[in-house]
Amino acid sequence: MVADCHFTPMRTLSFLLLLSMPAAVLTAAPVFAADEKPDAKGVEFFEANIRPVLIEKCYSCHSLATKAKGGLLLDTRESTLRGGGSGPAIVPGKPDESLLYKAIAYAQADLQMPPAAKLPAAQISAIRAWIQMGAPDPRDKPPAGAGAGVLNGMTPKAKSHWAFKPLKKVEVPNPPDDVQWPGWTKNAVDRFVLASLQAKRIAPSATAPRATLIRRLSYDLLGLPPTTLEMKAFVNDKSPDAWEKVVDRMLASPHYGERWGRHWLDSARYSDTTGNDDDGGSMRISDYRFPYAWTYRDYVVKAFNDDKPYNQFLIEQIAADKLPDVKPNDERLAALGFLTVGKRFANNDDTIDERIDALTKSTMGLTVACARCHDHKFDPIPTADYYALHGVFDSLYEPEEKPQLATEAKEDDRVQFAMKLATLESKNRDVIYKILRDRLTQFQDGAEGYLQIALLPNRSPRRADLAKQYKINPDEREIFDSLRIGGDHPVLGPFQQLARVPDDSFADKSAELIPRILKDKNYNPLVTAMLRDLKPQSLLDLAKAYGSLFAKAKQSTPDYFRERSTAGNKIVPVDAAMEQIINTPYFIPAADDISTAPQQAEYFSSRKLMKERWQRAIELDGSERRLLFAAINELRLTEKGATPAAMIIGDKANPRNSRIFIRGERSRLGAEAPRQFLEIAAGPGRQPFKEGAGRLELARAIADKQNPLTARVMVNRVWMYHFGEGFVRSPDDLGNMSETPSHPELLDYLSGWFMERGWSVKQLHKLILMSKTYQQDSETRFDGEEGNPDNRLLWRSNLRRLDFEAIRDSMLQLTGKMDTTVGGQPANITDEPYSYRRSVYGFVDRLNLSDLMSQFDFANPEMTNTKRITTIVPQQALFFMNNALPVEVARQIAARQSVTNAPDDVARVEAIYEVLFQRAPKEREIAMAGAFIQKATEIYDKKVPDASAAGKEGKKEGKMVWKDGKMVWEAKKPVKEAPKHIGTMMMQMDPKAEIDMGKMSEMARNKFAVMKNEGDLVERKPLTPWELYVQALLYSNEFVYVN
Amino acid sequence: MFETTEHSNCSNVQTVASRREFLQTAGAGMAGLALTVLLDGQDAHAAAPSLLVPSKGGAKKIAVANGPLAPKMPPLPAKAKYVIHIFAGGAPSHVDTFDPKPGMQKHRDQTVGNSGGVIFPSPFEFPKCGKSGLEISEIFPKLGEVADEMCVIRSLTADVPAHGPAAKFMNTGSLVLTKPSLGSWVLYGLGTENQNLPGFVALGGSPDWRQSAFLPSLYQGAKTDYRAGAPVDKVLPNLRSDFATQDEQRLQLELAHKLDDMHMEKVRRDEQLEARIDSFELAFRMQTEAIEAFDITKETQATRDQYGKGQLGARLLVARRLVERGVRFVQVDAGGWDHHANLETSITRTAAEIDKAAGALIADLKVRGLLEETLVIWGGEFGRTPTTEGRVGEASGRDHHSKVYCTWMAGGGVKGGTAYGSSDELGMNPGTNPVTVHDLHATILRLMGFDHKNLTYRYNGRDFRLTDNFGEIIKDIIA
Repeated sequence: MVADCHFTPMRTLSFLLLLSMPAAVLTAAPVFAADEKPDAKGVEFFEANIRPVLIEKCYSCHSLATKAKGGLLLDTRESTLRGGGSGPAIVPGKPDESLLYKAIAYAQADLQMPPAAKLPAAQISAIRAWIQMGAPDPRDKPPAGAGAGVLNGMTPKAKSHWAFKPLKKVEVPNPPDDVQWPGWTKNAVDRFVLASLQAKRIAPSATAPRATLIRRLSYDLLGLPPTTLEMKAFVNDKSPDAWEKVVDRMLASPHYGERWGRHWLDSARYSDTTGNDDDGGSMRISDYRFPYAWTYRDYVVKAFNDDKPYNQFLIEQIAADKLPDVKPNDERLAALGFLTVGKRFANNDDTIDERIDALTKSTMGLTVACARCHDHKFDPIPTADYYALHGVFDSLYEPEEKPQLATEAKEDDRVQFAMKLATLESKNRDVIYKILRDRLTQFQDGAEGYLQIALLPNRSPRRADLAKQYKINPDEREIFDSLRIGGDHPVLGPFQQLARVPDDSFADKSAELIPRILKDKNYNPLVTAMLRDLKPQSLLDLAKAYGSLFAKAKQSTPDYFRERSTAGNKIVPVDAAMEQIINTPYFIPAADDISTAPQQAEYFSSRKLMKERWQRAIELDGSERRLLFAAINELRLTEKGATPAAMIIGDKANPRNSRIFIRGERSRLGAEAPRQFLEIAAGPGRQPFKEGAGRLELARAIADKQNPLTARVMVNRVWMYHFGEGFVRSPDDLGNMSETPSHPELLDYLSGWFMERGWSVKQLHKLILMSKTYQQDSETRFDGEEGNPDNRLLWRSNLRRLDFEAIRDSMLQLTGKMDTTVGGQPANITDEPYSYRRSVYGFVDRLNLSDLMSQFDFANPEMTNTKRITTIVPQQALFFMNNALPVEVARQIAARQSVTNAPDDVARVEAIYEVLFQRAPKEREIAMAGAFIQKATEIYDKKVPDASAAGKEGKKEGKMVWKDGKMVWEAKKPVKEAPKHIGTMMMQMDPKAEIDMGKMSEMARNKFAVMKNEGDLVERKPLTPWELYVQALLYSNEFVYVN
Repeated sequence: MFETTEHSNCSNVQTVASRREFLQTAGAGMAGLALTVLLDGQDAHAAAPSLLVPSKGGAKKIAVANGPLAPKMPPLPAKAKYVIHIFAGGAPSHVDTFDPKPGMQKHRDQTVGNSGGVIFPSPFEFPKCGKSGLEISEIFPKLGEVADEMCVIRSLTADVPAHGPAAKFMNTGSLVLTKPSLGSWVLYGLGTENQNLPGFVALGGSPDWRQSAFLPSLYQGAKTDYRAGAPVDKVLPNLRSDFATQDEQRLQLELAHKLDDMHMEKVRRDEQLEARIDSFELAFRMQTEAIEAFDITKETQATRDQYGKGQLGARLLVARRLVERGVRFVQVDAGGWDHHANLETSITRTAAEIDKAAGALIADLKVRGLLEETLVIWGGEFGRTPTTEGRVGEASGRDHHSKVYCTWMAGGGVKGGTAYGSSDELGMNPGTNPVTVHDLHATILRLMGFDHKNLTYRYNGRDFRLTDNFGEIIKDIIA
């Protein structure tokens, strides 16, 4: 079945019940508790007079068996009281306040039910009487057979879903010893798992060999293979706590946070870009890259490394700025990136929706965003709850000025950054003044024409004629828009008022109007002086007079700009009246108010600088916006000494509740939805939020121990990352559409345990990792395949393919050159010149996700995607075979000292195996290597004729070229030196130079340009036989699978 | 130092090897095994157990349909097997292309209602073309020659007259949310016949027109870097090595296979392990096959001339070569229709290139017997106003207009030489039989053998489909 879920803002409904709904009614709803038993007399009245009417006239649109138009079901007591999208249908005892009654009484034009024809008067008065008596209603259940074709999450059944119930207090089972593996149960995890296996008569598996175990553990906790030393130490450690020691050591590694932080970033739909190519617009003045998303990523990595209590972790991500002990530059402020690194939409309601979606899926496994247009079809999330959260998010704003965070950058680099930033900022300021002045001059020169055209409708034919006459581009919308301004504008107001006078009586009517205008002291004295003696005969006369006023202003404009654009200057070279005219139609800011990039952004994006309602900034077009802000963002993203800042969010001064958008349409408002937590997770005693927008209260409600979902969701995820599948296989949805957990009691046990241990994720890991369940071998067995082929009961360990990050990071680690720096600005992790930073530090562009990342099933950062799908496609194989990264890795492995120092070929194979697989090669593998090297050498010698002379180490001069459909070796031509990339900032830093788009780096200029690392390209020369051999080993399944 | 012969005594290894050998000798048979996606059985439509796919070379290819990209039999009888979607972004004017509005003449320079602007009658003639007499603007003389293959829909209607969202809507059925593209749905539903090439190829265009969204990434359109005259070995990423010859790579793969066979002795013989081994074989073949497929120099000069020398000629010729090789869905970016000013001269220029290329494509597909099973779709994201600002003149253009616009399809089981639906007298609003984008999508899926209501994918607890919960099949245009 396909859920009836869509969001199409443009659609309108044919009719809607319960359109306008006083807020008071909603809060009055619980007056009549649904479980109060109606008295016999009332029931009798209902059965005789009400039920037949409902069945005959209402159920066809408002019954579980049919439809739930407007979200309203009238076939049970509870659903009738609850009402539809706009709130309760009846208020017991108060027919005049009951929407149902208003609708059937046809009291309002927009609310008339049934739509076809009004009910007979007798039925209407019966319903009135019934509501009057308290609406006694015996209907506990919908009529038999109902509910078949209709989806509804508001039913008692939907509410009684396991995940919405409090954690069960569970006894740890005590299963008898396994016959084959006595003493198998090491801890509670094992006892639960063994009990469920025994119920199916399947035995658990033996403990895996140590080499397998440490590799599994290392990838699980660190996303990296163990080093040879680690492997040897563990394999040879005879102490009884050898495993525990290695678990503890890895949990303490800084690489742990990089691995598990990345998992959370999947849930948090982390990206370094807004995903909105139409950046800015009315929303943001900057380019499409987030300059500081990475500070959130670093916060997450550190939180996992520090084992920050998970509840605290959640609270900080939602409301760090509201914590009682927060300091101005608190590192915890970076946590707010959780709310702000999401995708941006041109429509703010879509951005809010994205945030609600990510917040509820990632923290509680709830798909609340489904309730944007109607009550959730499966889960008990009424539309009112969606708009309760909408109100919270609509009461937030993102300050341009971000709190700076501590940095470990070197003093020199910081100074460098500060200088470059200051240069760019001052250039930006110049550019702003230049654009302002150009635009203003254009207006002042053509004011007479502009003013006449501006007030004509966009498509009026007169526009074109006038435009031709005045040589004005009729598409100059920006100037025209800025001239359409209220009649109270001190300069343009009188023109606006007089322009409304009809042409044929202009002289007379304007003569009446002007004296009134002159009395208004708010109008500019130069304008009123001009009007006093004007006696205009037509609008043209008026426009001409205004034209000469602006021409006069133009004479003082250069002086004004010069003084205004001088930093620290307080001189105003004109009087107040003239200043006002020069500031028409654009507000010209003082240099000190637009000296920093955030101030500059504020000038365009907010009204902070403007003191009067009618003042306005110029509107930038796309290319101008990029010109101004892309280069600065790039500097913040790439300059070593850049000052990190937190992507904070703040509460607006006047937080407001949202009203329900009926069918998701902002233009059709229903009842007010008080800002509060979700009913299904709040438990009894839900209260509207009181502090500010309510974020801290929201955060605490999510992280509350009584919340039935939060701990379960996290435990399910931790389990999933350790075993390949969670107890529930849909980690972002634990609602009614999810499956029954594989081990419901264990899930509840672990969730309780997790909270009791102070929400410590590391302790949870340890409990799981210490179990024998985790340490099982992956080998398959007949009884298991027979009884539980998908291994949901965990009778063995699952075989798992490494994800993109683990594959790439393994390669880097094997070269011995991986950059182990924790944290910092993003790097390009897929393109040459290659970065040796771990993949978690990769620049993630949700608008244009790297092909390689998506081919290897990287989490789609469009939205919360906690679970990675594993696909196998030839493009992945092409990467291993042809991409320069595996080539470079193979070369570097072949060049490692342990390999080059090997005394003979067998020893060399052994050294390579040690690096790649941390084990000794088998005899057969050595033989295969020998055969390979021999054949490869034959090809190589033929391909490169001077091979024997130059030795077999690939030092020959020449390169591979593509000819006639295949690669051939072209000898003797000197290898051209690989182009060197010297960072991304290629801008001229001469402060006097004009900003020139041509001189900006590719990244700042082109909105889709990828970020480039510093460094060299991989040298295009043929691989030697040994390098080819190493590369072939990288193709192997052993390299990319963990068992 | 080495013994040059290897010890291969293990019978287990030989079994695995010989099974693979068997499949290889059976003829390119690893397609089905080769690709896998590990899901929770989320494929909502059942894959046919196996089927015979007639190959263009005449020989029968055996495909074992247990991989997600293996060809699948659609649940309903299909008219078309392949799609070439020519996306005319920028919003082509309907009244100057495929929707003649002679009634505009008498309203020339008049304002109509409160729509603003004045009526700007099309400067072009609409001759009756082919046996069917389908009226097509004179700016498309070559398409006129194949009019009897074309089915024009003149009553499409959309909501939003803004390029970005509307283009996304046309390609994904969603204005705002990130949903899978039409091509991804088709690939998900049908798989593809040639595992050595991507099943969904995008020749240019925006990422959100080819996105797989919540469908696994293997259904995403392969982005190509294809330009007329540019080297073909870089069309797809990592298509060839700068470092090794194919002989050397063959040697590498053989070694890797042997190692993998040993590896499988230790761990559970898992479908995904075998699939991964096979994916290297596919990749190896893709290196030559993809380069060959994109190489239009392999075509005769006459054919190349027929398609035209420009970018679009090359793209459509490549599209034909891809479809011929079993690629399921080809998306061609053929934009440039945003004619706000100087419409008469600029639309003539824009039309000329696609006219030659698309006319050649339809004729060429027909000659090769491919047109019957290939659905060619041309159209943009919306139409343009029948009016212009100011007065009608040389510089006149048309503004965005989404209330009514047109598109055409050819081949693939549509009724040729027909026009479906109409706009009103002035091309302002839909007249008869309005068609939404969801209806169009539903119809395309039906032509491919699907009931759009049943081609679903479960994501986060909900079964999603291309047409959301809308869409009516336009039965009247299906032959």
